[in-house]
Amino acid sequence: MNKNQREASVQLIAIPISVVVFFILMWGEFSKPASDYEFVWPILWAIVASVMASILVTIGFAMIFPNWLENSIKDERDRRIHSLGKDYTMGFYVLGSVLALVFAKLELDYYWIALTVFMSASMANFAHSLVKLLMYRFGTFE
Amino acid sequence: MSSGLKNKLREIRVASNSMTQQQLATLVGVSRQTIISIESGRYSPSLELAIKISEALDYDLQQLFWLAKD
Repeated sequence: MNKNQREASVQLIAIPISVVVFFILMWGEFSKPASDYEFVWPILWAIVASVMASILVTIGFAMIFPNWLENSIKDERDRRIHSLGKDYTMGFYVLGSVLALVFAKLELDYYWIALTVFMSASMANFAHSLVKLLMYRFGTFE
Repeated sequence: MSSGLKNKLREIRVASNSMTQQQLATLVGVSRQTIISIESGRYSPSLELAIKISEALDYDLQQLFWLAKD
C-alpha cells in the first residue's frame, strides 16, 4: 500500500469522525432558532477532530500493520488516480458552492450557508478518498 | 475497467528470462502494483511507460501493446 492509499484509507475514517463531532457539538444549539446558532467553534473543532483522528488512525494502523508506513515509489498510476479522483468528485465542491450562493441570495441564516460549505467539503473529501481506493482496487474506469 | 488497450506483458515478461514483476518495475521506475495493474488490464500505461517497458523487455512495442478492435 502506498502513501496515496494510506492517506485515502485514513481519511475514510477521519472525515466521518469530524462530521459526527460537529453535530455532537451543535446538538445543544438545535433548540434555538437557526439565526442564534453558535456554529463557528463547532466547525473549527470538527476540523481539529479530523486532524487528530488522522494522526491517531495512522498511528493505530502502524501499530496493527508493521509495514503500514513503508514507502513505495510514487509513479504515473498514482498521479493519474489522484487526478481522476479529483475530477470525479469535483461536483461536490461545485454543488456546495452553488448552493451556498443560492442560500446567500435567499438571505438564509448564516448557519445554513456554513453547513453547506462544511458538508460539501467533507463529502467531496470522503468521496475523493473512496473513489481513489476503488480505482486502486478495480482500475481507473477510463 | 480500463480502455481497449490490450497487452501480453505477462507472457513476454515470463518468457524474458523469467523476469519478476519487481525487477521490471525497478527497471522502468514504477511500483510493482503498477505492473500488476497493467498485466491485468486494469491500468493503461502512458506512451512513455509503454516504450520503457518494451525497451526493458527488448520487445516490439506494437507486439506488446495493441488496441482491441470493437
